[in-house]
Amino acid sequence: MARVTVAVSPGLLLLHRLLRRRLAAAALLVLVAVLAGGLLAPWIVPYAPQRMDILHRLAAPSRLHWLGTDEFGRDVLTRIVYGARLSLLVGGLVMLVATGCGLLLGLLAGYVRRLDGVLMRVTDALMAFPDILLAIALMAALGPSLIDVVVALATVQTPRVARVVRGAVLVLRELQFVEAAEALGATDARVMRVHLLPNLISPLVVQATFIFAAAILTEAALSFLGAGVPPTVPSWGNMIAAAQLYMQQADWLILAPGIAILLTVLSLQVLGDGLRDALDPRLRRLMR
Amino acid sequence: MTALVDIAGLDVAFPLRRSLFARPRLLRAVAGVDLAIGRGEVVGLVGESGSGKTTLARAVMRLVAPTAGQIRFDGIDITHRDRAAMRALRRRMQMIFQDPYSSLNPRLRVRDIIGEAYAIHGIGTPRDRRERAEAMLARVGLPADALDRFPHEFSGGQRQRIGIARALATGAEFVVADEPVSALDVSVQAQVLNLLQDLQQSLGLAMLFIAHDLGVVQHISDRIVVLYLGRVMEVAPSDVLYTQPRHPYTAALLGATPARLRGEIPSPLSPPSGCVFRTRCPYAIAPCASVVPRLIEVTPGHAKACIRDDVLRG
Amino acid sequence: MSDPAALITVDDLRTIFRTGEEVARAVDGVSFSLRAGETLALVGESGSGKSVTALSIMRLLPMPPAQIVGRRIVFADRGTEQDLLTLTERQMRRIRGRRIAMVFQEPMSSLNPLLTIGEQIAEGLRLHLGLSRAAAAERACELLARVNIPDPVRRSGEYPHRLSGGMRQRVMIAAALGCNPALLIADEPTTALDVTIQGQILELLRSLQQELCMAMLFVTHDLGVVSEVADRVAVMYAGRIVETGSRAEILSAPRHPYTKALLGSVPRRRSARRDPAARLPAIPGQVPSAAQLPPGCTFAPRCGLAIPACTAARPALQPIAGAHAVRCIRWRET
Repeated sequence: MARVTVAVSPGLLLLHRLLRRRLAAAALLVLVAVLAGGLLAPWIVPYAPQRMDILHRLAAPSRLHWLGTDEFGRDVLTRIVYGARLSLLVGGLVMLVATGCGLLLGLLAGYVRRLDGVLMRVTDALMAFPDILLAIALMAALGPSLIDVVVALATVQTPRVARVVRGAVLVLRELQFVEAAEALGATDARVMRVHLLPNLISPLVVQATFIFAAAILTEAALSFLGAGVPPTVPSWGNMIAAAQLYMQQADWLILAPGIAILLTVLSLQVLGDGLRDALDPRLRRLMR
Repeated sequence: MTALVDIAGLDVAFPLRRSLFARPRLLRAVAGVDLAIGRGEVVGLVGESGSGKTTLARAVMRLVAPTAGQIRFDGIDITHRDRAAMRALRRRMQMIFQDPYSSLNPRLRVRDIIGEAYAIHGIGTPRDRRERAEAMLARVGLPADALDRFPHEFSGGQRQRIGIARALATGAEFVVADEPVSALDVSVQAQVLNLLQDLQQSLGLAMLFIAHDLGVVQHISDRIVVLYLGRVMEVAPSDVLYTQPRHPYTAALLGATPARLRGEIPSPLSPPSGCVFRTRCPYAIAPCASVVPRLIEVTPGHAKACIRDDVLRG
Repeated sequence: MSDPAALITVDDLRTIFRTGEEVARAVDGVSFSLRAGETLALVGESGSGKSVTALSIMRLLPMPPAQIVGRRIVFADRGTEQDLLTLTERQMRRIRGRRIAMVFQEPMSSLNPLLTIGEQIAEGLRLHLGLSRAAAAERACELLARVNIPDPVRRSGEYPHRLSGGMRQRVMIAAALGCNPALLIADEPTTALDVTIQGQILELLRSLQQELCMAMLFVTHDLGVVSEVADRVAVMYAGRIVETGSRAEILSAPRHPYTKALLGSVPRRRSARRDPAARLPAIPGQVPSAAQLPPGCTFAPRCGLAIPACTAARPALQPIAGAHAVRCIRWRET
């Protein structure tokens, strides 16, 4: 053997490669902060999210209220942190459900030829609607709970994952190792589990980060339009919707959740790009 | 002598649809091939790309379904066996692939690549599978510590050795080697060819060895079949084919004809009438366009599909 | 080694790739020169640095990770001498495609699938020679006819995917010759083609080269091809030229153990009876990684003749006779 390779877990290697990219590392830091904030919300914020203080309505940012207060005198920072909770929960759940369903559908469509036509026409039909319209229509049919939001957004995102997975499967199944497995007598289930699935993880991880971002954005849009979670729940979209009326007097009301959304979504996109680069080391191919 | 593999009148065609409304046209990749491979015999299969050699190999392995003809393995008709029924036989017939990069799953360790053969056929216990895989690696000249590595840690030649170990893990009697060295560097080609020859002799393997390079094939084969547009042009014992080619195409491949071949291999969608080689043949005459030449034995074991008996008489 | 009549002189070319902390010496001190009308075959296995040498001359390597640290590449064209390594990208673009053209192994990836083959050839002519649309189209048809594409006028309106591999390579050659380049670099132009087509393409290249009095740098791994095209041969191994000489010298009287082994390991058609016990002479081991070159002679770890002195110092290219030179301290004994 020409070179000695130390056995390092692929996950660690990926993290190392990711952190070497400054932008991706920064994005990861932002996301970790958002996640920590969301998880530890009750312990780190100074106020309860629903606590009203009529005397200090629409107070500008101060030492007591870092990001000011809203029209009911509720602390904006507190609600942003609680909003992160919701956004992350919705984004995370949508990501899990959509990648799970999309993976299954894409695998079937790509590997079982008979199902390909039907499944792909259905995904085409779903993708023909603008995201937000489809989500609103689904919300109208389902109802305004958190679970309904997740179901609606997952339905919107699943076809995207299915497309990506199917494309990857179509490429993989032409590779000789799939044929080699068939020549060994592997069953379809085995080919999918051992040979296709592990090779789909890279595109899937990248896709998942983008879905996370899209779900957060669409959830905010739904809340803003009044079609999302109930208006009493602190959510970034709800906050922006409520702030519209007071934009002139209290711009921080709209800026704070807006910047929160921007930072989170941007970080997810940057992380997705970083992951894509880290998982696809083109340099090595060039060297061969 | 009963052959281990017996192919008779084999046809493999793929429907090709140009547009939604056009009637699908048939691409006849393999057309009426007869071929028998005895136990322990190495048959070389030579042809340009588009000659149908890989399709023939995949049909023999029953990775594609034949459209006509019959394939028998050890007397068993496998022409129309379904996947489940083929599984038990796959232990005895295996394949080595051309591309050392795409033929190994990049996410599996070598022990799992070789071990898959044992897992599928329920050979041994999970514990002694590791020992078996190690023994296979030793046979192909790789160290035991290769077991825990991933394919990308190996060179092309080493990867091809892993592919060979996988193919031989179940104790196959018949191996199809589809251009096993053509993707390798010259100096490594020789290593792998020597290994294949050693294994073939020590295990008494029957082999269908496919190549586009006559030099590579002659080295390892007992008998050689020359394929052109899915049809057999000439069959002969290895030495005879090289010294006394009787078909103009074989002669051209060997560089024995003074002029270079004209043009390129025609599309299998619209093969020439009569003899398919006539459009490039320096000896073509008018009847070649109308008569489909049959494979006729010229001397025992040496057959050619050419109506011109007056040229290339050796 | 400087030849006053040379069209191009590559002087101590060193190309490295930096990835992270790793430095791969892909080309490690390569020198050669080439005259007009002459063909030099650069022979080597993958990893020998032959393609990187070609791409370094064209300055087509992505930088970073690539970096050319070598001395100079003098291109003496039409009475002016230029060092290709010091030219600006703008100046280089004027030479690339016009004075130095290149043909690649995989013609499909170098052709734009959305343009007809006539358009692709005409594009280069208009760009480099400033021809009008009509004149370029006409010249494109002439070029297609010159590379023996039947019915060139009709063919020029076809798209690349309609052509066979051999035809595509002819189109690439036609496009490369459009501006009458002084030097043609052919990087494995026949490797992806079938044997019967290979011969046709080689013959075409040779006749074009004589007609246009072009210099040709022919990069290949195939020694069989070398015998058909080359005037001179340079054998590369692990980034260095290990032996160079005339075609006859290299093919029939090789002195470097690597050249000998390479020639020996080609499975050859033999007229003698097949001996079932016969083994091909193989070279043990594999080409070292460019990032971890062995000390001294890079071939020593695989060489049957290696002695301790081989790994002590990097051997120099020693002249044997005429242009025949070998990088081996034991060449007298081989």
